[in-house]
Amino acid sequence: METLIKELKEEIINELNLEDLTPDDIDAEAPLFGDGLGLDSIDALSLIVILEKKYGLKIENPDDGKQIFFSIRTIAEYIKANKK
Amino acid sequence: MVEKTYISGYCIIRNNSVLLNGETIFTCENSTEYNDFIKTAFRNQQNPYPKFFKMDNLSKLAFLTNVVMLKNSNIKEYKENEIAIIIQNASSSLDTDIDYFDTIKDKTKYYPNPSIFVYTLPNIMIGEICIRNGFKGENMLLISQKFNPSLLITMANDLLNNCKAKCCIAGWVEYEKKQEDKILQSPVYDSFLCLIQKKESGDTNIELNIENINKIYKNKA
Repeated sequence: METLIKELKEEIINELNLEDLTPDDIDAEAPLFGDGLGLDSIDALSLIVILEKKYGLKIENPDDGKQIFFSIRTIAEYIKANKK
Repeated sequence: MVEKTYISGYCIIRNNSVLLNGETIFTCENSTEYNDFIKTAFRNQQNPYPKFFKMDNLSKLAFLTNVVMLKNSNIKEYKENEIAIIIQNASSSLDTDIDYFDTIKDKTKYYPNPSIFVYTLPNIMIGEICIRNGFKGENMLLISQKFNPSLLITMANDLLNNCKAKCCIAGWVEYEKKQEDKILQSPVYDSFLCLIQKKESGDTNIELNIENINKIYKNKA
């Protein structure tokens, strides 16, 4: 799980151009939107693309998005539970 | 009667250098890639704004030119809806349009990139400046084969003389993509923004006319 979390952090920094951050700066438990990492709605779409492109996962129910994308750890848990 | 208007400050970014009112304030070696140059130049301004790094090449160029140009300006004297922006360029957002096309051209790897897509309009560079500064005045992006000071002056003066704005940020922000299959190997970028006001204020106070704006654009003032 920790390897996946580190990989996700690197992927997000790279895809979302979070240039001033390193993986160590990102708290895996902290909220990605709002007070935490401060991501916006376009970043949310980019996260969906990362899940599809890198992990082959599609979120079938949009209502699940809020829970899945709450933090790096919740994304990692979703990947681990659903990746074939 | 058309009142006189003045250029109270200007910034030029080209050839890996940043000039404020004709003085070079930052420069990198010629061999430095655009991406490294523009990010280093932005950090040099000590004006932290993480969203800068998410912008496309064109918006980064316009944004940084504006940051530098407004340094030491009297822009805070104006209300947010009194500040207009008029920018011209030749290549529109073609640089980013091509990057976006690369994400969708292969049907087997069809992953439209949302963070690239949002920059596939040239006036987004004006939007980025407005979001950062809270400007809500008139704004316009004009596509022109080359810098057209006559049109720029006419439009800026029209806004100022008809009380549609009290100051106007105007200029030329061009970024042409590096084309590896053609002669053009390096991106061509050229940015020039000036602050136009009715009153004499600021560091330069140059009367706005074609001769003067051409001089400062060519950095021969």
